Amino acid sequence: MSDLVSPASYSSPSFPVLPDELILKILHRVLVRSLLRFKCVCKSWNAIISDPEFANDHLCTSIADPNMTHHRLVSSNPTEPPQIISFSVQSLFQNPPTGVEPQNLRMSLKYHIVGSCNGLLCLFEIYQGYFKLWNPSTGLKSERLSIGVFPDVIITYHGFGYDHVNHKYKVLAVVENAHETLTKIYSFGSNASTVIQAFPCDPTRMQGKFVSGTLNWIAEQGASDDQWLILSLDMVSETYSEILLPDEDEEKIYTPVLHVLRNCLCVCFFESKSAHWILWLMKDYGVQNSWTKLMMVPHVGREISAGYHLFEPLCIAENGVVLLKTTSANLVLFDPNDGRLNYLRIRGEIGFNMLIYHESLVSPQC
Amino acid sequence: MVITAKGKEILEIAEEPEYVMLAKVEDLKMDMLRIVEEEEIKKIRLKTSDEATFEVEPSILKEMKRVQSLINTEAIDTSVAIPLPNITSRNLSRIIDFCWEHQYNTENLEEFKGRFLKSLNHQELKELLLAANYLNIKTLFDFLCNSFTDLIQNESPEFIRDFFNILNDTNSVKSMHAPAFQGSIDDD
Repeated sequence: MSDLVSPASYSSPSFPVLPDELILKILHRVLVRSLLRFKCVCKSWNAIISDPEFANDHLCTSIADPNMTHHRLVSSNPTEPPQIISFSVQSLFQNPPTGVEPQNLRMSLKYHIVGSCNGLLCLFEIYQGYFKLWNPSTGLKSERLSIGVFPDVIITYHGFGYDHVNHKYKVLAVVENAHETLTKIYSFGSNASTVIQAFPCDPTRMQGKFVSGTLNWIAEQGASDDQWLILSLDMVSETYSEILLPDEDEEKIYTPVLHVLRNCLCVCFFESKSAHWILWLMKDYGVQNSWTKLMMVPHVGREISAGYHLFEPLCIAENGVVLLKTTSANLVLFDPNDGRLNYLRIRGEIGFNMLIYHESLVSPQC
Repeated sequence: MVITAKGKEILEIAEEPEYVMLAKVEDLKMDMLRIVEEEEIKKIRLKTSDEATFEVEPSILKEMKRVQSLINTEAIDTSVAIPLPNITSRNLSRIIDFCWEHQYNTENLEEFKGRFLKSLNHQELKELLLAANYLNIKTLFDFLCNSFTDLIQNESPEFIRDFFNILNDTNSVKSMHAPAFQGSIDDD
């Protein structure tokens, strides 16, 4: 790696000069838009900021940042014309009385957000039938990845993740037409797809959650109506496994949903005995006894049996305050320290499909 | 009564005949003095570049991973002050202040951090970052790195060159401006 500071600058000993390693540690925390501007500081900064290794270190620092400076909430907006809308998560947690201002991006075509990973959004263009990776922070895009036979197909289950062994971004899509249903994995950069074994169960939600190198869905187990399991698809081996929910003495579990909090798999469900929403976090992925009860959120509003007013966690701050979305796509902050629910004021319309991504320099071109 | 590890013994001995107790209490007093002395020894002395010696509490010391590893792995003689040739007394006193507040000031920590930052100019910030890095104090290092980030984040490349003493060798590289959420995803 080239020098960040030119040798000439060492000539004044009375002023401390920060060594390259320290400047790098500072730059790892700088926002992407500033880094793009800093490329023209000097040739070596340009080289360093363009280096994939730097992008990776920057991403790791961003993900671990307790202040969530680089986290954004993104949603595709169902209004006409279609839009993708994003908010700074840090601003959402600050909950300013004037409301949080979004950034909008108009689209002439209609995209569905399949998932996010490493600061990249995977979009599906629903009229022409292709996937595309997009880094909203740098504006860079990947080539189109066509799903093949079109327009007679629909996609049901889907998910986006990263195969860290083969360094490939992959999309899982269950593709259906009148004659057959295929469970396929598409790999970016190779334009090839493989057909894998069909889902062994029918998850309740279409979109899989990516965590620890796996995509995850929740499904009812067998005939009984309140037994649930987590279906996990390994992005490297492309095989399934099952994870059980926390083994607690709960009376009845309603509407469990999966999310990712603190880079861990998280399940949130309504529990009838306590009449609370209960959040569990799996500290070590796949380790059954690492399920930890994170908090209980009081239920407000209508009867749960009607299926109204579902709470889903999106993001959690270091002090335990959690950002939730409701069935009606409202954003709520819950503070477990004082038990208060705060409805957020946001400007603009937000769609129900909301995702958290980390601003990064990671290239979508692979 | 001073509560020490030996405090329990005083109560037990109190049930013995009085004359014995008197003698024992004298012994215990000596014991206690020795305990106090031992605690004093646990305080490590650090010597700065300008020859000032600081006595540092164990709780503060454990933040300084470099000093800790010097004591633990290299088994250096802790009866003499450990020299820190890279750190001035002014900076060491700031560092101790910060570590102390970080440990014991739970209510107004953010307020303290704000004041702490305000009291430093850019040169002093750099010195302190170097010192925090050298002593391997994670809380202070993270705090200072974040402060640097805030300082430079919204500035121009010219400011950055000035700030880090960098020569401009980029006549050919054009200035790039990028909003947070940029470009259109429609045009290929």
